[in-house]
Amino acid sequence: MRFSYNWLKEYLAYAVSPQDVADILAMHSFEIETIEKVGDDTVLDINVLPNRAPDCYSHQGIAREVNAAIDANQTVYPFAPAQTYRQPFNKADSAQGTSTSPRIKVTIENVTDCPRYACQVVEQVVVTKSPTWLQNRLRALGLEAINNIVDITNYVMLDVGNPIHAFDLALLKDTKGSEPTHEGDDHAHIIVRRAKANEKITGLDGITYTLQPTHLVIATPKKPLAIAGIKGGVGSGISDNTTSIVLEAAHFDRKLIYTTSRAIKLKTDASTRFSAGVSQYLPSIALARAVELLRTVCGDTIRSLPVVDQWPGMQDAKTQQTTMRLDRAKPGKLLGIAVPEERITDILGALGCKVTDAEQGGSQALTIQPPFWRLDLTRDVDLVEEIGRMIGYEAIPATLPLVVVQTPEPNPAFTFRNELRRSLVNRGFDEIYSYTLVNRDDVELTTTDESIISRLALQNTLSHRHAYVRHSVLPCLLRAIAENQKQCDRFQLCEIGKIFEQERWSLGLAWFDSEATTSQKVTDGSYIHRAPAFFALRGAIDAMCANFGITDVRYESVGDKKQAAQSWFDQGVVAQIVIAGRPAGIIAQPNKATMQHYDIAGNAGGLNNQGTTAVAELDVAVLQDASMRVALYKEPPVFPPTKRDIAIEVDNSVPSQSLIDTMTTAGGTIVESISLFDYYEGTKVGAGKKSVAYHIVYRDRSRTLTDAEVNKAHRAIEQELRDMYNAVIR
Amino acid sequence: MVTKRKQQKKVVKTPILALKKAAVKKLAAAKTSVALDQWERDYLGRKGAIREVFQSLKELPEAKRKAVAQEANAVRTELVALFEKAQKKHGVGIAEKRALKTHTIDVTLPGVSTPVGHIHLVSRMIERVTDIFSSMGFDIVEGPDIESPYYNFDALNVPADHPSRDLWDTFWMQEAGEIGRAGRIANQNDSRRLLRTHTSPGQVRYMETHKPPFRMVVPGRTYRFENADRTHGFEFHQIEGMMVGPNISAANFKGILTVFFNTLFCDIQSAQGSKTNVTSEQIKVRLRPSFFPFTEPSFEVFMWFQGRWLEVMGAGMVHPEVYKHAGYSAGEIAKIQGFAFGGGIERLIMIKHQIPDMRLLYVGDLRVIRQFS
Repeated sequence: MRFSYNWLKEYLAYAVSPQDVADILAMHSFEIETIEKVGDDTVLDINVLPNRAPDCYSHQGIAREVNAAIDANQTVYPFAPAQTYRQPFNKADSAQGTSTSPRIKVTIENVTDCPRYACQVVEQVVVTKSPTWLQNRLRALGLEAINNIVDITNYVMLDVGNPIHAFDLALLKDTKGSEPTHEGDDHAHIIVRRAKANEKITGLDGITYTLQPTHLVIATPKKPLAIAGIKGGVGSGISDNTTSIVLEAAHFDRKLIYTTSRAIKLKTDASTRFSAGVSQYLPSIALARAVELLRTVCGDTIRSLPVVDQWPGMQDAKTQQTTMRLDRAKPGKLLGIAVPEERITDILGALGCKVTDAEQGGSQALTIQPPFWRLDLTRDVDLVEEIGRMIGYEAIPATLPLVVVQTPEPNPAFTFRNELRRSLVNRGFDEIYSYTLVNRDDVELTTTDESIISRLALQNTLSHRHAYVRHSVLPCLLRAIAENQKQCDRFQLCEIGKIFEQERWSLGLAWFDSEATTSQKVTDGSYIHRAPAFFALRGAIDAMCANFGITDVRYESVGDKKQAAQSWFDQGVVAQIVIAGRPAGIIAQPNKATMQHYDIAGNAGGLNNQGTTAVAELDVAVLQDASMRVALYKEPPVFPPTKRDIAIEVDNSVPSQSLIDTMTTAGGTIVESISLFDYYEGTKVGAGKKSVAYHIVYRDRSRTLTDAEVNKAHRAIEQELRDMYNAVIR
Repeated sequence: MVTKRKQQKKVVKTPILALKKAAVKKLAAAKTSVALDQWERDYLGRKGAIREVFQSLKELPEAKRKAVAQEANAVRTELVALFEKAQKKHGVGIAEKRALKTHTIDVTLPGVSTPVGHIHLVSRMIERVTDIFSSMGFDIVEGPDIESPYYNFDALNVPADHPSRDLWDTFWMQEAGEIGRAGRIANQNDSRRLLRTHTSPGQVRYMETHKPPFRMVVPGRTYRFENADRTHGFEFHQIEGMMVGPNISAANFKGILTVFFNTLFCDIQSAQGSKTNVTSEQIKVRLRPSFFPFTEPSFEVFMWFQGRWLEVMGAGMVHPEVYKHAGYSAGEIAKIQGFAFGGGIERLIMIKHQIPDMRLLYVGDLRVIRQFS
């Protein structure tokens, strides 16, 4: 918020430069955004903290801060002695003699909405341009100079902090004869009430606003005059013809103004102040200041009538002004420096607090009554902050705490993710971070379930590109592949991030090798070259699992039902990853449509290009659960193994894993391991057939196996393969 | 007697000569440095055959000892000479022969490529930061990204319908729903869900299951409904921290943070020291007044780094209302005090690695990622 240095200077107790003001505020109160020379004035853009808006959205408030910070003992109060303002002005007798009529009456429909409404008629005003000094002040702060009356209302708001408004008295009176005549029939009648449903009012900005009963208006019995606390209306504003004005200085419910301002999307200098809250004591001060300025600007010819001040909330305002107890030791203990009692009383006194000893008899506490303008001081820690910042936080030393030695609580999930990341990076994966917020297409890549999608959707969005929380990390990886393939022929990516709707940590992996298939022939019979990225990525996953002692990793073909839903992948190159019997994720080669959607490998398509890319997603919690925590020693085998090979020709549709499972079972307990060493599809075997060969290692840990035993097991394996798969043993 | 003497002499003489014969034969067979080592141990070593002969001297009659010893010495000298010769031929000589052959390949050709991965800067910074705090005894805890308004705002003393909520522009989920623990004084009729705007919900979540004294940090991803620019993101990461006990003061906060920043940036100072002339300069921490509903007093934290003050964190002394929301009794609250802080991970990364735009961290560009290993 912008503040004029010349203006502040009127209230400053010491001659300080604009830079001094800025430095003092920065150290003790608020950050300074800019210091800017405007004409013969200097404007400071001060970042008033939200809790200080009630007292510091005003020049008087900022001046109080500076004065208090300079010297806690010699503060001058911009306000006249506070007690003057503790009482409302009485209707008739406070101003110009008892006989004068105020010519206005006020009805507040709901005291919670409007705890105070003060107004005053001023007659014999001449509407004209403001004097130059006044125009300059306003312009320096970015306000337009309009005419002397409106300018004065703005000036008072910026000076005191309470927004005020001026109506043309003549325009408040409804057409003659419509009012019942009784005592004071020349009285204008102001009503503070809720708006009617769809009630329309055109503001001084020329925009018509449609209001609802949740909004507050200032009205005559006939028509709305203003959106309370936010904007005046066109029908009652000051014009060149105006001779009598009504000055309004009111207090409205903070929340009501805040919600209204947001609902009708209108933020004004007035609404900002009312939303943040202002002191109920201010309206009468603001009125007095306005009349004073009118006299300065318009001359002594103006005639101010008695103030009408409805203050039903006065009792509440008084009770809200809490008296607090402050333990004398508390500031020092919380801040970590010695704070003598004189310092406490000096500082709080300078800030306008009344400090007295608490109850008699050696009590440790002081009793503090904050000044009426400080709505933010409600408990002892608030006072500690005042003391701390006035002393200056520079005075607090950096001291390490004395504590009992305690080792941190373990966080296995956090630690595991760090280890997982290292394991992947050590085998060549580059880690990426993507936004959690993705677009609709990204979500639909992995789910078409509307009930899930709607639970992923954001209510408010910055862009359609970031309108959902992600259901999978795969879209993020695909996008990163597309970006990086432009510069890089071969890379591996990983991302460890959260996915939703059931919030959990997910591991995404991507393998890209632009030369994987283009440089090698698919027809060479090797299974690896049929889907190079897929098998490379699978190998990396197996290695990663082995790294964590996870040995039970299986790759199962995906059932038909799932295929329908998850059609982003190549139907023939996809597997569900099962770890220790639990579904852990998916590994697949993206299909052509997906590659095109994410613009991978340009416009080219076909098997060759698909073979360049594979992605996988794994549930981090499943990996963590399966990871071996503490390995126990096993004696290395001392008896020799017997190795036999087996070459089989079977139908192409029989998975290798099934063959291994069958052989393991058929061979019995002496089968130690089975590993593939040859694979062939092609002209040398029949169509729809493949030839596979395995090393089988037989071993008994307690003795040396005889040839007869091994032969028996091996024959059993051969027989079982023939029986189950119609296999030809070669 | 003569016969006996002859016999005796033979008994002594025969083993030495036999020994020599066997040794020479074996040495001839030893053609690698390993075999030579073994031969040396067998014959010339501390427990070798020659040594055994010398040790058996004391069992001989006085008169015989000298002659036998001389003979054994002669054999040893001979064997040592033979061994050194063999060693020259097969041991050291092998390395020399190899050296002659190295010129047959061009060692400047590239090695077989092994892919090298890189940890992302955000992970690296989170790990580094949590490591430092962990070393000072801080627990590391985490919370959900999708939060309830209760934990994100209410429990942190952010009043409903108050402009101070504007400080945290919020992404709301379209559908309401249950999230984690409901909270002790949860706002029952507000089951809306939001993307946490800070890691501060971790404060109350943690305190619901922990009693002071404690110290903890919460790293995590946070979200703000604001357009991204150079220094702001609608997604970013924060590190939240909290330390509470009977006497934890603002001075202690300064102390902990001074240690933290100096540890975090110690490597960059030595890396760039000569240029910026700050090698020996300690990073200082400065506090300025600020406002957060969940701390009182509240601080803006600056650090003196490479010749300027940088704003790095928000902090303050934990507000008593927050303890209340965590379920601590008035009696407990009266006996505790402590600090809390929250800072941006990306901000620290940008300072440390001189990254001009935080959005660079989220595009997955390997040309950026691979710069940092």
